[in-house]
Amino acid sequence: MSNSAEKKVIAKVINLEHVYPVAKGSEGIHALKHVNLEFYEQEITAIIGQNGSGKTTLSKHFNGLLRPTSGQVIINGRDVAKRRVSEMAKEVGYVFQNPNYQLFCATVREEIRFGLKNLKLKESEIKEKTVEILDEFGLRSIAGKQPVSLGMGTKKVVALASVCAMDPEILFLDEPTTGQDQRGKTRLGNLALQMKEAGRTIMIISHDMEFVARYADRVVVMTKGEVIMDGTPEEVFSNEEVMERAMIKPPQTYAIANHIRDKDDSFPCVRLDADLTAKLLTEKGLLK
Amino acid sequence: MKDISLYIPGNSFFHRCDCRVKLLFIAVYTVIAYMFFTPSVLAFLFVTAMVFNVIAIGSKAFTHLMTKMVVIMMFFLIIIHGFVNPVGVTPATVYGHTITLPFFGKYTVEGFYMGLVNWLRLSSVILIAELFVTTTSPAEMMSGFHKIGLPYNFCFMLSASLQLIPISTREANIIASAQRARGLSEKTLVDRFKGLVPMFVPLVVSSLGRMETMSMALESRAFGNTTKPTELRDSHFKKSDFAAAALAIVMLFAFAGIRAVYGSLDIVNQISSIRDIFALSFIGR
Ligand SMILES: Nc1ncnc2c1ncn2[C@@H]1O[C@H](COP(=O)(O)OP(=O)(O)O)[C@@H](O)[C@H]1O
Ligand SMILES: [Mg+2]
Repeated sequence: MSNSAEKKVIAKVINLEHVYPVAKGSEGIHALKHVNLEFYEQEITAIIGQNGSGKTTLSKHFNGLLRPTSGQVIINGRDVAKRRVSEMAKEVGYVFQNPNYQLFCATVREEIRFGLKNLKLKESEIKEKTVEILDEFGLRSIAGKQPVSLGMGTKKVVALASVCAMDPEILFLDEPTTGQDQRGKTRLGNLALQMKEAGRTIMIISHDMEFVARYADRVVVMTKGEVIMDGTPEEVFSNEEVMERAMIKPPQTYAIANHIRDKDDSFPCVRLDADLTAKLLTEKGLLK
Repeated sequence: MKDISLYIPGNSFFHRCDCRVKLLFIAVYTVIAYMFFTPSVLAFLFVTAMVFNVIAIGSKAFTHLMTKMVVIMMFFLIIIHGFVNPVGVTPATVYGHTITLPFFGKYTVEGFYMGLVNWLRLSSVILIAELFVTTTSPAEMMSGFHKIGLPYNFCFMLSASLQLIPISTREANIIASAQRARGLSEKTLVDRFKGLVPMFVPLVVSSLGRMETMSMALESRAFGNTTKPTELRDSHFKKSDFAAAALAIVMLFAFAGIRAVYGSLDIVNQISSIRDIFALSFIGR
């Protein structure tokens, strides 16, 4: 990142290692191997990698759902390992992959209130904040509905809203776009941008490269429990070697640019813009 | 997170044994256990059942959920019977002292005897059932139940729900973490109970949803078209199965013979101390 030097470090992962214990005698699953990362305020970081590369395992260390086998996760200068999950909830919001498992209240409104009640706010504050959040996320019209009865896309938004209500500085979204249509994706992406503008640190685990390329400021690539690259979407998606190692297909415009650059170094890396790509191709005389 | 699935894969004699033979053993053990009223025969059943379990799953036999249940039952049955069983008259002396509870009175020798007998009976049956559930895969269990005459649909239902237990446990764990991640305190036991109630909604919904999907998937694959479908795993009696079944039958007849000649070996009227129970049942009168 060009400007990361000036930005405030919110979270720091130091030499993090995680081994899932399995049956006695055998070694266990080495899900994370010496991961070192820093996360800055007002930044959207995407964590990408194949299934089983350790993304979820890494993310669960941020609010203490998993404890490090060795190494540390430091948030706002304090070691997460020494704190309870419920205590971390106001600093780190975690939106799980499957909204079905995190919506357990009778109504959408209750769902928003759940976290606020756990923060032990005054009833008047809870009411106020709930209304604010319902409006912000466009959930007002369904506030009295049962979360169970909602569609998958809306459930995701409710889950996100219920977490954002607690005003966490860090927000983790585990595969937010799976099962979403284009409209849902745009909605989620815009919400992420809004929250970034509000100064939060956002981390998104995703397999949706178009989404990552469009919204992330920074991309962390993981394979087999290791971070193999950390950079801007342009840097990452134009690095064919890394893409291959991580078995990731970059978005189409990047892929096209990469192909052309194999023969012509001067062709720029184009950030997810089909029109611009087409224009450049025409200029080069490659498209008639 | 522990997996609480009941079946423990392996390749012991009992794993290879036909499911029906294991069901026969359960039947035989249950009948024998309720024919006798003496700790010696029941202890024999208990020990053999435990040995079978160790042969089948090794040291896991001692830590299995059902074994733990047996241990917990021991305390409850022996203590409760000792104080409340109406046959109890003789107070038991423990190192020269009698034990008295307010409202319940004295701990009695006869009550201890009844507690011991009932515990041994129940636990023999539980342990032999443990052998069945730990060594029989859901698929075998289903075909076994079908072969002994239960309707196919019922068998399918049974084995499908057994397989859902571990899934529901896993889901319950995910929901619990979601609650904690949203600030539900986990400090005290009361806190944890508070989290249990909201957990039911997503759990029930997800299992209903899964059931609906499953039933559609089943129908679209022609389930119920025939009541006699081909078995996924067709099993035939092997030589060893015949041998094991014969052993069960021989045991049944041998003990029935003992019962016919000597009666149920009830010694409750001849005992006056806890030592008597062991002396009379194991050493002989
Ligand atoms: N609860 C668990 N117990 C044992 N192994 C696990 C558990 N969760 C994940 N793993 C293993 O850890 C590795 C990383 O998993 P995960 O972090 O879920 O990957 P990702 O989110 O990138 O798909 C995988 O090999 C997976 O099998
Ligand atoms: Mg994952």
